[in-house]
Amino acid sequence: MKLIAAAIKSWKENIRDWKVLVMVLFFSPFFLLIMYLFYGGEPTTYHIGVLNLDGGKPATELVEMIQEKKGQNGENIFNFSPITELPELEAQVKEKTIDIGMVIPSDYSKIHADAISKKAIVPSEVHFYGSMNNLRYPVAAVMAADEVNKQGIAAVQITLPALITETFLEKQLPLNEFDGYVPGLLALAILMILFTASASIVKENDKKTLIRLKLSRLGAVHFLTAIGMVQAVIAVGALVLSYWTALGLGYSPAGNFGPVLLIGIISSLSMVSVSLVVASFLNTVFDVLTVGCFPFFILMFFSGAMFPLPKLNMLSILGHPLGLTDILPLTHTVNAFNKILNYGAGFYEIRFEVFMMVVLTLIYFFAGLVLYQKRKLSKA
Amino acid sequence: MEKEIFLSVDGLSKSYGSTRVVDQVSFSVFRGEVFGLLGPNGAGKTTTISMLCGLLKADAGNVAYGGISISAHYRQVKGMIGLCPQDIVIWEKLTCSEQLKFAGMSYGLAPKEAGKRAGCLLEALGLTDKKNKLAGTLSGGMQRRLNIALALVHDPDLIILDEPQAGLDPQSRVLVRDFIRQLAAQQKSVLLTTHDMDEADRLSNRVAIIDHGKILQIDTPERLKEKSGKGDILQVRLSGIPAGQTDKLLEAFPPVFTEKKLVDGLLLLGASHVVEHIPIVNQTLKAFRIQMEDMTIRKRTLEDAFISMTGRGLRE
Repeated sequence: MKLIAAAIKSWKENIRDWKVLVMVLFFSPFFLLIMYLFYGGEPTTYHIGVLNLDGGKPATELVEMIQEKKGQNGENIFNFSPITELPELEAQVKEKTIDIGMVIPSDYSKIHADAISKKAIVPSEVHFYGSMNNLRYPVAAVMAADEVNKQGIAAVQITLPALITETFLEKQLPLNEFDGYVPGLLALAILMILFTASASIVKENDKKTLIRLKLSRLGAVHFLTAIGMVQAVIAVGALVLSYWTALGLGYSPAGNFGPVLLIGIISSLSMVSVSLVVASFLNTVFDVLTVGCFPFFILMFFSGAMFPLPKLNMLSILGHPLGLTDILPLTHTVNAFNKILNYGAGFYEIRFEVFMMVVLTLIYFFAGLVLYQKRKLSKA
Repeated sequence: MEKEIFLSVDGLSKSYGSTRVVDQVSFSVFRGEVFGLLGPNGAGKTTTISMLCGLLKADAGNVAYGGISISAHYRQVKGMIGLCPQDIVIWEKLTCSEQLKFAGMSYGLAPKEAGKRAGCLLEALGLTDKKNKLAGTLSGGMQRRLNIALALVHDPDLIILDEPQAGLDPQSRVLVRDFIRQLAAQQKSVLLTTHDMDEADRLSNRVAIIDHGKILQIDTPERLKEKSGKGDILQVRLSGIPAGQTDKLLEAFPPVFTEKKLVDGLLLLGASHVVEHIPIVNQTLKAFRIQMEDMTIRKRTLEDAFISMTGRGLRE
């Protein structure tokens, strides 16, 4: 009964503190909308600027090949822009207006013709301009190089000893950049309860009502479990809202919602556990919204929710390599969402992530409980 | 009939570093008694209260409620204590009714019982009209009354009221005063700390005066007043006191005046049947050519006793 009373109290307080609640519920759907507006939900295209210094036919054909290069569903790979001056091309690369700049030299067509007539040649130098800061450049460069090589191979009529074929493991193709962000943004929806959960815990200290709870027969476990229950509901609400938003924006998940919901519930409990650790070190709600951003960003960036990170493997559990970032529960949330939404994984395929999340949730919860009791509930 | 001791405090001590904040404090509170704990700021009242509630661990000493030691049976004792802290400690986003019900249930009351207790307390403290209002929207006085109600929702045997009347308007003060008396009449023990000596005098059956962490006196307000001096006090506002004549002037008053003080131009003379000695005062002042601006006679107050024991020096 005490647990129910504490849960009802926490629920009412969260509902009435609607500004923070709205932020938590709508942050991720808002991000999804912004990402959709950026990437348009269209298949990925790469911006290429071509400075053609050669007026010959092979050079013109190469430009046409680039323009007409198609993806798996017949969509154009390149968004083509003709460029007339080298400084302009360099400027556009720097400003990331284009992902790659290609310069076709003035001798391209002549050397191409010489190669066809089997004359000895010094290869013409097609020059790519790119920026290593632009993560899209390497892919664009590979795609463009492929077209240059294709034209060359066809001209000299040789057969390469090896052919490259590709298999995409995603259940549904094509994936566009917006689709790639959806699992991470769903994880972000759950991460957001770090604020409401921490605030719910810290508020009692901030408003000094903790003294009433200490004097009552409501134990720390009752109090924190009640907050956990309420926050789990809020997190699932945020997850469902984000999921619906993604569907509304044309996202087509490969897997079912059931496993997503399971991961959402466990993840929300893990976030409550992390919040408990965070709240043990904070005294006011203001602290939560300022200092609390530190763990928030650590979780957001190092879990892979925003972009993939290289894995620094340290040990192996049940045949799964584990790295430093695996101590963050959200890492497993992101992995599980990727598996479900991109690869159509079911409950069985995400069992390792579920196991890791449960273990980490328990570790964080008990660590948080000990810290909270020591720092906030102990008799000095 | 012998009174039953409910709260027994024995040799309670607490130090922070080398500073002894509470030093061998011992007292008892009977059932149905209003016990005042008076002391200047920093005297150790709040630390003592925190230890009585089990919020703070004592370095030495023992606290027992109805013979049950707090250190050995804290969970059992918890429900016997109701604390109304000096600060207003309420859940601002809950209505009056909701938070009383929650507080009751957090002590293990059934929802129905907690609701019933909440209703009774809201009525007793004049908050029935506001039962569905969010606590954060109430006036300061109402919040303070709600603060008191929260201490009582689980029907404790000892109610600790830390400055319960601070910030209350006169009507609310009367209401709270009557409420405290009712509690005592219901055989509840009340431990009251206040800076309002008049309030402590009116309400307390006994008073302990604490300073520098030590209990200086425990007695009824009447006897404490008597101990501070006999009879009433004559207050004379003076002007034109010659420089360096203060000590001579006080010495000039005969021994019939048991208490003689001159503070900031105010002459205080304590004596039995002080009215009869007014002519002597007139003559003495005339002899020193000192002007008398006004004269009043007042009864001894608890404040006189308090000041005589703790001194006039500012604290904190």
